[in-house]
Amino acid sequence: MIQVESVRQQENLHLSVLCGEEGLTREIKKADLNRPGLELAGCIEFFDPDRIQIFGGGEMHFLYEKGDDPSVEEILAKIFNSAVPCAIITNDLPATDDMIEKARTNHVPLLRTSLSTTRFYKRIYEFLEHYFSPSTLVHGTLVDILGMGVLLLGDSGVGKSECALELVSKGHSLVADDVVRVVCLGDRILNGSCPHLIRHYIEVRGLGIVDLSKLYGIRAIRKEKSIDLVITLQDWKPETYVERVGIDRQLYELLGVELPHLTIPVKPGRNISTIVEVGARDQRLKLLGINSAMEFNDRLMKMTAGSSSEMAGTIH
Amino acid sequence: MEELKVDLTVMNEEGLHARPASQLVQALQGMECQVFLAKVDDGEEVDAKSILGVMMLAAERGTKMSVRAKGKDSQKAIEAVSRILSEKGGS
Repeated sequence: MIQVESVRQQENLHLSVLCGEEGLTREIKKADLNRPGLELAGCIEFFDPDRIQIFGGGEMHFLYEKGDDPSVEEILAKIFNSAVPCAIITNDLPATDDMIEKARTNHVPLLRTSLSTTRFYKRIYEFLEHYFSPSTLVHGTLVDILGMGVLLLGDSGVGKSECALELVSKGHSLVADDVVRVVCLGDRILNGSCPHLIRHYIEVRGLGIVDLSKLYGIRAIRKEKSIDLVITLQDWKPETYVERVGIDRQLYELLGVELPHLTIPVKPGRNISTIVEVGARDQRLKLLGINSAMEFNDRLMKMTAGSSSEMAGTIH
Repeated sequence: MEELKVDLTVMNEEGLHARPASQLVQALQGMECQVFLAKVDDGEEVDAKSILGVMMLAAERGTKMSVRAKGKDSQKAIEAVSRILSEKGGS
């Protein structure tokens, strides 16, 4: 549950409370916002009282000019006498006396920001989206390798944490070990972070729980990272299928988003962290449009095509 | 695949802190099944074989927990979890 107070505390929203402080405990039930222009103009039947109401330049100038009109007053009363979480004025514009009075009598927080409406819309939506987007806990380890968020999956004991530890000692950063909170932003980006209580900690078999931020310094850790690649570590068995060329793209679906997926067989003597790092580098190349396996195959096909035409030449 | 689910209450005086959490993880270590633990109230599951996962739940005495085991040894795993969660000892 998120209250209006949490929104007020967000520094990048530049909010101050004009009146109705007692209502700061009101709950925000959705990330959607509303500019009540349509309502003020007289059409109240589609009004959704669960939304934060944003009074931009248009609404405020309308109120400065038409605020004394009894029908407008009546509508403003209806807006403030509903379950709205709060009302926010943008552009540092002054509130009308009528708004202040109605906010006060209904205990609705009336806030003001110095930001322009569009900028404010974007920032508050980004903030609220984190609370209202689909999220899940994943048993895995998230590391940042050269700017690529790599989610390591695999059965308990397969060596995810040890791999992350090696990556950190090579200079990469850890986001979360063992438990990753994944939030789907805007239906397409998966953002991974670590649940607060266990942030910066990693469990290493034989050592126990260690604090990476204190052992390796601030560069060893990251608060959150978008996930770009999923790598499953799997105990090696002779019969399991293992990718040998890399032309076929495997995908992993999480919260409705598909991510590139690699499966790496784990076997004593294989340096998993190096393989994971190369996997991340290769994926980065692919994002830049360079696919090593495809290029290699193209080269091979050119060669075979060339030699078959040469052969054709000798026949004739 | 065999799947079992039970709801239990944490009886340990000080909740599911480091010691009972490590006992729990230790007890499940060799078992083939996957075991998930969640607080009944929020339903978000963690891997019961992960010490950080179990500790992250910050379950105090009296918290209702749900345990789900999937695969071979599920019955054994559920029994082990029930035994550890219902121990009263404060250590």
